[in-house]
Amino acid sequence: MKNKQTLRHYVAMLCTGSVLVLCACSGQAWGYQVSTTGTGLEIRWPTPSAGFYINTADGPSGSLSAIKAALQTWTNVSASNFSFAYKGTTTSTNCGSNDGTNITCFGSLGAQEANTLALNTYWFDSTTGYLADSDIEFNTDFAWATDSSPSALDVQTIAVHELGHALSLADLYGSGDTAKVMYGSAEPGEIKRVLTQDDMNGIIHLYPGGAASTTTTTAPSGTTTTTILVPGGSCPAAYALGQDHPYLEKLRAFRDGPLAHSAPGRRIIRIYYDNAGSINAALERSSALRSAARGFFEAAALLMADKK
Amino acid sequence: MCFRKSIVILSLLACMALPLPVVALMLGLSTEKLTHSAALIVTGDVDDVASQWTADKKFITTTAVISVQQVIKGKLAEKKIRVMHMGGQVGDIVMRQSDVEPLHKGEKVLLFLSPEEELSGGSAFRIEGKAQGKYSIGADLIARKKGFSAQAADAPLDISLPLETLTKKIRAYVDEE
Repeated sequence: MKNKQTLRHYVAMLCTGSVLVLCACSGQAWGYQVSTTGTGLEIRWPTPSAGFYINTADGPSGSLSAIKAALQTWTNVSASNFSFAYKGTTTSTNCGSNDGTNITCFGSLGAQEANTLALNTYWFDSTTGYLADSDIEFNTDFAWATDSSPSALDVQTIAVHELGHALSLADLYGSGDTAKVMYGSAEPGEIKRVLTQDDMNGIIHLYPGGAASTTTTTAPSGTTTTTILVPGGSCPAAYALGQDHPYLEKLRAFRDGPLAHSAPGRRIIRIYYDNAGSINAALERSSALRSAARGFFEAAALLMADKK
Repeated sequence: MCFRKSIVILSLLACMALPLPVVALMLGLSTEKLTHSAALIVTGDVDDVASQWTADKKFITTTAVISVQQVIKGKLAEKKIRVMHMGGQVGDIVMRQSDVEPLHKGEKVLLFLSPEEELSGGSAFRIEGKAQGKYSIGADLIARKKGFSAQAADAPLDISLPLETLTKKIRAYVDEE
């Protein structure tokens, strides 16, 4: 009997996890894609800000303004509380190392990187997904310009794209993605300095501007407390079922009970709330998805209640 | 039973939806270009993967041991070779770098390789064109590559094709050399 209950726990967790991973990871559905750790955690900065030093040596004239403008482009997204800070110029060429100082620089990447136009190296903690360092290097073996030259790569265009990666947004390849800053291709003379709505949705998802509320789960020993930020207090289950739905209590009991008392469960909780904004946005767009989600959450609540 | 089926379907969908995020930008390399620039082209199995700090402790690199099944271009006396790439995980610290598609233990691959000079002094190989030079071979014998963002993405980059077709194509380019 106990085994049956345990099996049901795992089934419910697997089911919930599968749906959430599906929701969290199908970037095309949301119009943007977030980089994740090997275990599925979204990679992001621990606080909604990151400072960059800029080394313009070997770059074309106007590089400083171009990169500062690129930083500002992401900061200007008003629905996100993230801000890039320009920390000043630097002569450091320590691009790529994990020194806690984010820099952009120009330099030859050498024969082994002969096909690389620009390189982003980033470091993060695998257990939290929190970024520690992100550096961007523009390969001077290619021509760069800031004056919209048709034969050179535009510094600001590539910087906006690379800074999107520094936020943890990944490349997109769909035929409907070509206008986006995060499209994974660029050519000499191409100018793409303005974010599309999907690009903005990406940063809003990662660093939402709304006031945060918290939900707290406690590990079995009672000594460790994991606090999970819930952006804007949003919960996809509450959104799909409605705030007064009686099954919400069952779902919350499952979250705070079996899920919160295991490491995989806590990870599912984290992924769930990390992606709540995106899931809600998708639910808002599609009544069919809302209906499917409602059915899923109701079935899950019944399954979880049944174990009692 | 129906519920169990749903779980399986959802899990499969979830796996299929898992993205392979990459960062940055490369020149798009056709199969012909990759063939001509690679010193060695092989198929094989990834036997082992290990990450380590570089001697100056600045970067993390990963070394994979490949059991070579077939040599399509080049000459090779050994049956096992080492392939290195930038990035990897040591403890909880992870380093990732643009357009690098990691090699996974147990994976069947077709690789376009050249001697790795900077870190191993030529004793190991590196993948030409980073992720562009690595095909994963599925049980369906389809060779697929992914995990890169290339300039002129609409160029014919042979993203996914039968292994046999790919091999014939490469051999034809080798014969031209």
